[in-house]
Amino acid sequence: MSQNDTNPFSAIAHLESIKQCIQCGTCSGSCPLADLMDHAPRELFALLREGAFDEVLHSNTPWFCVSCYACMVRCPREIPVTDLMYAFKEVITKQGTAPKNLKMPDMYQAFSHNIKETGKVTESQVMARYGMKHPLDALKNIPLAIKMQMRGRLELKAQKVADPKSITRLFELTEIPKDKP
Amino acid sequence: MTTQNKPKIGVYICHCGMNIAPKVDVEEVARYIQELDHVTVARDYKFMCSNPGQDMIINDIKELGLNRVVVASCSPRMHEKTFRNAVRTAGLNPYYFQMANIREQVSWVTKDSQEATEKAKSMVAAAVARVFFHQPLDTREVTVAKSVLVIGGGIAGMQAALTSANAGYQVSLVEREPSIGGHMAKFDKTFPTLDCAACIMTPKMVDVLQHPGITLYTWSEVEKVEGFIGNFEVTVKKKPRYVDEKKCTGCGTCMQKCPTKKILSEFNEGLSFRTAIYTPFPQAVPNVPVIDATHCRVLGQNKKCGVCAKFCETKAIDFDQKPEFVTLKIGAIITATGFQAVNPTSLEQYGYGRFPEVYTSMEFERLNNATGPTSGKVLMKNGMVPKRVAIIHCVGSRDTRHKKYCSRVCCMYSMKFAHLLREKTGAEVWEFYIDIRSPGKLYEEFYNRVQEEGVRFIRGRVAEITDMVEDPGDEGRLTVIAESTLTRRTVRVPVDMVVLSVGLEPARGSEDIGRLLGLSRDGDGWFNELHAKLAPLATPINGIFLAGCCQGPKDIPDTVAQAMGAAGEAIALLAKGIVTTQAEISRIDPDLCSGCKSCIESCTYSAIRFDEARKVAVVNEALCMGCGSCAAACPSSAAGVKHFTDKQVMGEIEALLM
Amino acid sequence: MKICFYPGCSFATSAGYKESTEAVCRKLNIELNEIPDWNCCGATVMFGENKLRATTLAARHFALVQTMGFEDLVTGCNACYATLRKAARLLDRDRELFQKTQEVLHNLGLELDRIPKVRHLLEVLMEAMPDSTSDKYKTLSVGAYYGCQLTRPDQELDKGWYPEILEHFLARIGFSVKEHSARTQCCGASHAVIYKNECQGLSHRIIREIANKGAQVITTVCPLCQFNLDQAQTQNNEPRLPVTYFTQLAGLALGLAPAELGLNKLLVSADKVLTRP
Ligand SMILES: Cc1cc2nc3c(=O)[nH]c(=O)nc-3n(C[C@H](O)[C@H](O)[C@H](O)COP(=O)(O)OP(=O)(O)OC[C@H]3O[C@@H](n4cnc5c(N)ncnc54)[C@H](O)[C@@H]3O)c2cc1C
Ligand code: SF4
Ligand code: SF4
Ligand code: SF4
Ligand code: SF4
Repeated sequence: MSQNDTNPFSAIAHLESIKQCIQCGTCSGSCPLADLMDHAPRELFALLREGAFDEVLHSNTPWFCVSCYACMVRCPREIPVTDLMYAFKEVITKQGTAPKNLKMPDMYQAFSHNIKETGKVTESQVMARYGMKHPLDALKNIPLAIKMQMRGRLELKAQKVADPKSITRLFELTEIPKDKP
Repeated sequence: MTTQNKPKIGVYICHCGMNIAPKVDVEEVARYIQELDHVTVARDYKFMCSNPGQDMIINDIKELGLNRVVVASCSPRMHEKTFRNAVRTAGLNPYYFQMANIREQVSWVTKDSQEATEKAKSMVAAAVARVFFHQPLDTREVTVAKSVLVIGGGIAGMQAALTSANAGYQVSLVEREPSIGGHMAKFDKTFPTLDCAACIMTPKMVDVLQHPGITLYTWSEVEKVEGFIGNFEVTVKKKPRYVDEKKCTGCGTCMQKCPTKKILSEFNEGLSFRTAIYTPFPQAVPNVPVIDATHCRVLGQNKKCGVCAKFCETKAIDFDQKPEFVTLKIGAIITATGFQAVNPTSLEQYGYGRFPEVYTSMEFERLNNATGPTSGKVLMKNGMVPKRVAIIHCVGSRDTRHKKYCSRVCCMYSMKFAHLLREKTGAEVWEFYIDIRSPGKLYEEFYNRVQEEGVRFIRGRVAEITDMVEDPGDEGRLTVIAESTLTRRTVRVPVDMVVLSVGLEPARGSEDIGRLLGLSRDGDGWFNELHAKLAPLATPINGIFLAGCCQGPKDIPDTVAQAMGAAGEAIALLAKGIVTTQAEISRIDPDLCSGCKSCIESCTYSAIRFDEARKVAVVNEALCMGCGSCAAACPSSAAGVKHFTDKQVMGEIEALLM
Repeated sequence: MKICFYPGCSFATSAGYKESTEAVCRKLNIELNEIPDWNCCGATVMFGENKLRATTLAARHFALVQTMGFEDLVTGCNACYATLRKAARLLDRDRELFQKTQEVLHNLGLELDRIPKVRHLLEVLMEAMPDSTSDKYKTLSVGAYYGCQLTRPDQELDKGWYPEILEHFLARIGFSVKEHSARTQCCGASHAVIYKNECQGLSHRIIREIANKGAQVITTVCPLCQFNLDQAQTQNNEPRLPVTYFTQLAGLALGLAPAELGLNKLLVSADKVLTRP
C-alpha cells in the first residue's frame, strides 16, 4: 500500500495492518450502524487493498462509525479498526471528499467550530449551527428541547473557557496545511 | 594419519542449483579462498551433495593428498553427514571436515549480491581457519534395549504400540487417564467416511490390552527419564486406583452401589454425572474402575462408607493403595500426548457458560454419541429437539488473541456435525465459516455432500451470540449475528442450539513432558519435530519420536499414519541393536580439574561423576550430549567439548572478524 | 480522599449527574477538585479531524493536572474517559506526537512532562462506597448499562463485552441486580441526535432487553448514555424504565434524598419505582 504514491491514505499509522485482514467480517458484523454504511469496515479494507481509493475517499462508512470499539476488540487479527476509521475521516476531511448529502460531517464541523470559538461544547449552540444547514433536523429536536428546558437542563448560554482565544490559538497551531505534499 | 603433516586444505563452494550461485559469486569466492594459507585447492560446483560432487572431494583427497576439507553450501543439518561420509570413504578421519553455511545464512537472507559474496568469503575463510585446528575424533558403539515406551494412549499411542509390538519389541504404554482411547473414544462417527468410531476403536483397544508384547500402564504417568538413545531408564508412577487390577473382574457392582453420584463426568464433558468409583465409559480398557479420591467419602471426606468394598465379591477394593513406581529399560520413546480442545469462555461474545444451549464441539460429540448422556439423541437441555442449529467455525483458531493457527480438523468435523444433525433431527443447519478447509482425500466431496443435504453456509465469522429478543416469537432462542460477507448483509439468525467449533491446543501438561524428555516446543506449545520435511517424526533428542496431535493439529488418518511411521523409526533403530555415540562430547583434563564439582551440578544429563580416589570429575561418554554446560561452568578450564575447543572456535571467530 | 476531576461538557446539564456526584462525594469525604478552566476533550469528533489537535485538546488537561500536583485524572463521562485515554495512549507510544504536543502546549504557556492515569468516577466509588447495611433497596431491581467506551478498547476495568463490575458494585451497595445482555451494546451515541429514526432502534433494543430481564430501573455511568436511553423513551409507549446515574443510586444507598440527587431531572420519572413500598 505505502509503495503506491497515489494512495491518499498512505501516511496513516497502522495502515499496514490491513494487509493482515482475513476478510472474516467480524468487524462489520459487530458494527451497530453497519446497515447505514455503504461498505462497512471489512469491505472498506478490501477496497483499499484493491487500490479503489476513490471509493474509500467518498465512502460514508467512517462517518457512521460511533467509536463503540466492538469491532476492534474482536478482530482476530487485532487490526485497530476504530482507530483506522478516525484516520480515514481525517484524510477525507483534508481532501474534502466527504459525501455531500451526508449530515455527519456538518455535525462534526459545527461541533469543532463550537470548541474552536469557546473551548467547550454547548449542545444548543452546536444544534443551532448545524441547524443552519439542516433546519428540519433541528426542528425535530425542539419538543425534546422543551422537555429539557422544563427540567432545567437546557443551557442556552455558551459554556466557555476563561480565555477562548487560547483554544483558537491551539487550533491554529495544530492546523495542517490543506495542500497535499 | 596425517595429523603431524602440514595441513593441506581442500575447499568446495556449492552453487546449490539456483539457491546460492545467482546471489553469491561462487567463482570469485573460490578465487579468493585459493589464495589463503594452507589451501591446496578451491573449487566451485553445481551440486556438491551429488555423487559427482562427493567424488570430486574423494579424488582430491587421494590425488592431491588433502588432509582437511571444507564445504561451503547449505546448513550442516542438511548435509554434514553426507560430506563426513565422503571424507571417511577417502580414508580421512571424518572430523577433519568443516561446513560453511552460505545458503540459509547468506544467499537466502542477503539482498545485495556483492554483500552476499563478501559475506560468503569471510564465512568460508572462517571455516578454513577452524578446520586447521581440527583433530581426529572417534565414535563408539553401544548396544540398545529392545523395548519401546509410548506416552499417551490415544489413537496415536495405541497404533504406535501395536505396530512396535507386532514387530516383536516389548512395549510399555503409559496413559494418565483410567482408560486408553483418547479423544477418538468420545466420537460417534468420524469424517469423511462416517464410519462408526467405536466399531474401529474398540477392537483396537482390546488388541492393545491383550497383546503379549504390550504392558499397559493406565492411570499412570512418566515420572523420570534418564539415560540416552537405546538406554533410557524410565520411571513410571502408577497412581493409586484403590482397586486391585488383578482381583477386579469388572462386574461394575461397586459403581452401581456407590452413593456419591453427582460428580460431573469428564468423559461426557460435564453433561452427565458419574460416581466416585468409576470407569470413564462402559467400553473402558482396562475395564477396572478407579476411585476418585477427592470425591470419595472415605478417601476424600473422612466419612464412613466403604459401600463399594462391602459389595465387591472379589475383595478388590483397597483403600490403602499407595503410588507405585516402576523402572523400565527403554530403547526408544514415542511421545503421543495429543491435544485438548480450547476453552471458549474467554471469547465472551459467544456466551459459552452463560447460555445453556451453546455447546463446544466436544460436548456435541457426546450429545450425539450412542453411549452419551442422551443416548445419542440430539436434545436441548429442555428435552426438545432443536429446529435450527448454528455451527460456528474457527472458535479460538486463526485468531491472534487466542490461537493464531488453523486447527485443521474443525471445518471437517463441523460438516460432520451438520450432516448428523440433518440426518438425525432434520433441523435446519447454518454453518458460519471464514474459509472452508477441506484438503484431504474425499474431504471436498464430503463438503459437496453436506451442501447437497441443504446445509446453509454463510461466509462470515460470527460477531456475537445473544439471547436478546428482536421478535417476540423468538423468545427463548439465541440469535447469531454475523456479516454474510458474500452478500454484505448483517444476518441475524435465531436458533435453538449453537455449536462452537473450538480449536485444538497441546494437551495440559505437555510442558512437563517436554521438560522430562528434553523436547522443545514451538511458539504454540506443540512439540518440535527435528525437521519439518526430512525428519517429521524424529526430535532433536536421539531416540525420541513424535506421533499424532502432540506435534500439531491433525485428523485421524494423518495421526495413524504418523503413529505407524514413528513406530517404524523406533523399530529401525532397535533392529540394528547398536547405536553410535557422538564424538563431540566433553573431556575433562584431570591435570587441570580442581575437584570443585561445578560441572556435575551444571550437567542436565547427569553425565559427570566424581572420582573420589583421584578427586577429579569424570565424564561418562555414553551419557554426555556435548551440550557444553560443564565447559562454561568449569572455573579451571579443565572441561571442554571436543570439536569445540577454544583454539578451533577462536580461530573461526578471528577469521570472521578479519 | 482528594481527586482531580474533569467534568466534561455534558456533566452540568445532565439529569442530576452533577448534583448526585457532588452529594455523594460530600457524604464520603471525597474532595472533588475540578480542573480549573477545562476545555472540551474533543470527544469522538476531533480524532476524525486532526490527530495532533485532538491529542493536544486532551493533553491540555494533562498539563493542568500536573500543575495541580495530581497523578490521576477522574472523569464521569465514558466519551471523555475513552478520548482522554486514547490521547494518553498515543502520547505514551508516539515520541514524535508527544514532542509536537509539548510544543503546542508550550506556546500556550503550559508544560507537559508526564501523562496522568485517566480513571473513571466508577472506580473511585467502587473503592469508597461502604457495603450496604440496609434492606431498603433490596427489592429494587436494577439493570446496569455500561455503554461502549468504559471497557473498550482497553478492557482494563473489566471484560470488553460482558463486564460484571457494575453488577458487583450495585449488589454490594444494596440493590437487587438483573443480569442482561445489553450491557455494552451501542445506544447510537452522538449519531442519535441527527439520525434519530435510525438510532432510536438501538436504544430501544437496550431498554427492551433490560425490561425483559425484569429490571425496574436502568443505571448508567455516562451522561451521553443516560441521555440517549432516557430521551428514546419520550416518544414511545413500550415499557418505560427510569434511567438513573450510578451516583444517584449510590446516593440513595447512603440515605440521601432523591431531590438532593437531581432525580427530578430525569425525563422518565423515577418517582414511582422509588416510592414503592
Ligand atoms: C470435536 C472433534 C471431532 C473430531 N472428529 C474427527 C473425525 O471425525 N475424523 C478425524 O479424522 N478426526 C477427527 N478429529 C481429530 C481427532 O480427534 C484427532 O486426530 C485424534 O484424536 C488425535 O489422536 P492423538 O492420539 O494424537 O491424541 P488424543 O486423542 O488427544 O490422545 C492423547 C492421549 O494421551 C494422553 N496423555 C496426554 N498427556 C499425557 C501424559 N502427560 N502422560 C500420559 N498420557 C497422556 C491423553 O489422556 C490421551 O489419552 C476430531 C477432533 C475434535 C476436537
Ligand atoms: S474483523 Fe479484522 S480480520 Fe476480520 S474483516 Fe474485520 S478487520 Fe478484517
Ligand atoms: S467502532 Fe465504529 S466501525 Fe467499529 S463496530 Fe463500532 S461503530 Fe462500527
Ligand atoms: S467408599 Fe468411596 S467409592 Fe466406595 S462407595 Fe463409598 S464413596 Fe463410593
Ligand atoms: S479448520 Fe476450518 S474451522 Fe478450523 S480453524 Fe481452520 S478454517 Fe477454522
